[in-house]
Amino acid sequence: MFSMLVCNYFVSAVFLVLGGAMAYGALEFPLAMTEHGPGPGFWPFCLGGALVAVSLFLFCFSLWHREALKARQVAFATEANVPVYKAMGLLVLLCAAIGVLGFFPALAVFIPALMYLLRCRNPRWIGGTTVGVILFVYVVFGLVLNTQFPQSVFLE
Amino acid sequence: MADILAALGMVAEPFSLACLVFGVWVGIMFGAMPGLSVNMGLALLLPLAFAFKGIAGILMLLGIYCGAIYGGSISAILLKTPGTPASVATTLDGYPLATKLHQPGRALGISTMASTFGGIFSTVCLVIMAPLLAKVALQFSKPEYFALAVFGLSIITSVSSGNVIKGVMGGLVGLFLATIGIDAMSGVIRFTFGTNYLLGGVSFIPILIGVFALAQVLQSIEDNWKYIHQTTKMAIDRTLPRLSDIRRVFVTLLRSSVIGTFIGCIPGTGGDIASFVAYDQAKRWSRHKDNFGQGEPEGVAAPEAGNNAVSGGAFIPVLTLGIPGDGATAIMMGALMVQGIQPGPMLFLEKAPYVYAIFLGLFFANVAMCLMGYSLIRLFAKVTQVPTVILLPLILVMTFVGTYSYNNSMSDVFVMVGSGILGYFLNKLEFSMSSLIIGIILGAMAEQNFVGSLIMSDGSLSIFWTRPLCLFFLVAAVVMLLAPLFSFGKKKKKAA
Repeated sequence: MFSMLVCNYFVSAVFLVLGGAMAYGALEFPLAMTEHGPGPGFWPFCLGGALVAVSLFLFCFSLWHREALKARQVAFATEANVPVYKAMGLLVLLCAAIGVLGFFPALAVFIPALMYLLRCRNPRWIGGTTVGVILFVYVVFGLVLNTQFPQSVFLE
Repeated sequence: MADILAALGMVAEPFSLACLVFGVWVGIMFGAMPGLSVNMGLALLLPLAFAFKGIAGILMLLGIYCGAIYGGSISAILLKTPGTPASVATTLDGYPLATKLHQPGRALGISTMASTFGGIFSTVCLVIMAPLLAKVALQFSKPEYFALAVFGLSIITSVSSGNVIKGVMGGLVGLFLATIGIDAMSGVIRFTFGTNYLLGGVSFIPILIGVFALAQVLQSIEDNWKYIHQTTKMAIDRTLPRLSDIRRVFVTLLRSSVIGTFIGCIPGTGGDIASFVAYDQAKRWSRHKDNFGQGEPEGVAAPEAGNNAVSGGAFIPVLTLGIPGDGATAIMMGALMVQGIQPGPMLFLEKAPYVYAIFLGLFFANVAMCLMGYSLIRLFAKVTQVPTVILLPLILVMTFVGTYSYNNSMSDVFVMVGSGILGYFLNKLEFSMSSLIIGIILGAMAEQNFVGSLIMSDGSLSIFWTRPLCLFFLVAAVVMLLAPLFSFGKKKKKAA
């Protein structure tokens, strides 16, 4: 658990850097006013500047209301967060597996893994859902809408 | 007249009608299942909508939009768990009517009738009001459009349920993302980091699916861990409302529909506000005040007519001014833009048949919703019992399939996964995802009209306050942006 105060300080810092980077990146382009209007860097520069200003405002606001914000907790490391982080890991693995195994084989591994993660232990439900979902995607998107899904590197 | 007939021809095509009915069906299912939202339904089926040529895809999205608002009432009445925030007020009398008074069929029947009445009433208002407003908006020039975009962005404060400052930050990031790619005014390539993928700008669909669907699924995984979903089975009796019920709730229906349509027109509001205001007014004017909270039919009809009436009202600023009022209309507007239909007053001149097709689509969506509501209500009631262990993998797979099929690109899938994971954390930190999307959608409009205005005035900023309409929208935007700070101060004083 982190307090919202700590989170706000972190957010202010990250967005301050992001705003600075946006404004700095905009300096690569002309900013000056010509007969064709302001240069292409002007608008992003203004946005970067505004983000820096709002980040500083959030920092000051958090400092001002620190007692109230300290009392509010943000759940990032509770027991309930663990399956979410595992699911994120599965998603990243799925992205990688699609390229290696192909779309449908990757799904055939991903769906049971996710259901197991969600505490489903019934093999019929796991099998039925996996087959049902893959069939649905194959028929609707593969056959009807003619989507060409990525194939396994071994088949290319 | 020729435009109306052309629109009727487009909507009456069997495939278009089938898409509309399918959309309503999917929408009701999404609305009925707690944890799934209107935005998620729209985001997930957006890529499918692009696969359909012409108006069919748009009609499907309209169906989802209308159906999901209504669908939320099913779980609100049967489970006391509103499927959407707009249905929270429906639980107050819907659930007691279904459980304490043992009349779930009556509660669902009244809710279906009220939803249909509200939806059709607001569609009629849209048909009358939108062309009138569009005529006024036709006189707008670049400074007014810029002011309008700023006004549209100012609703970020209303859609930011958590923290207004973070809502503004999200909006600014969205505006910046809209600058990526080739600048439409100068032709200069900006912030692409040398990749071809970003040349055409940031792809809006993967981000949309990521922040609205994937992030929500991740949140549902967390919720699923904490709470065990309890289901109760209820036998649904007669659903068609009796004449006595119609007489009893008719005035409430009318009043709530007016309230819902009016609230829907105001950017930044939505079905949740409309339903509570309608419920409050129904209670105030009712002859059966004491029954409220214990299963009063008027207490079911008022919020349902109110929240469904928002659908037509919300399309008035979208179609006439090109300003989305909330996350759902922002997605709808994005869908129209990707299909080459730029919402705004010019739409009424350049693509009038499409405008009338949208009007007709909304009307038919409400009719389809009514027919499905009365004929398939027992099926939809069963949908509320689907376990999340089956639902969540299905939706996760759909986020992948939907994103990939949009452009046949794995890069889009990576962007979607990245946005979804980031969206989960940003939601926890009270960032509003709607503000990010509104920023991306209105970004190009704001920048191009800002630059265009400065060209018109030879670089003088005075153009923005010497034109009355422009000044009006800018002042309104400032008021919208500052209003939450004043209300925060008031709350603090009260607490002290």
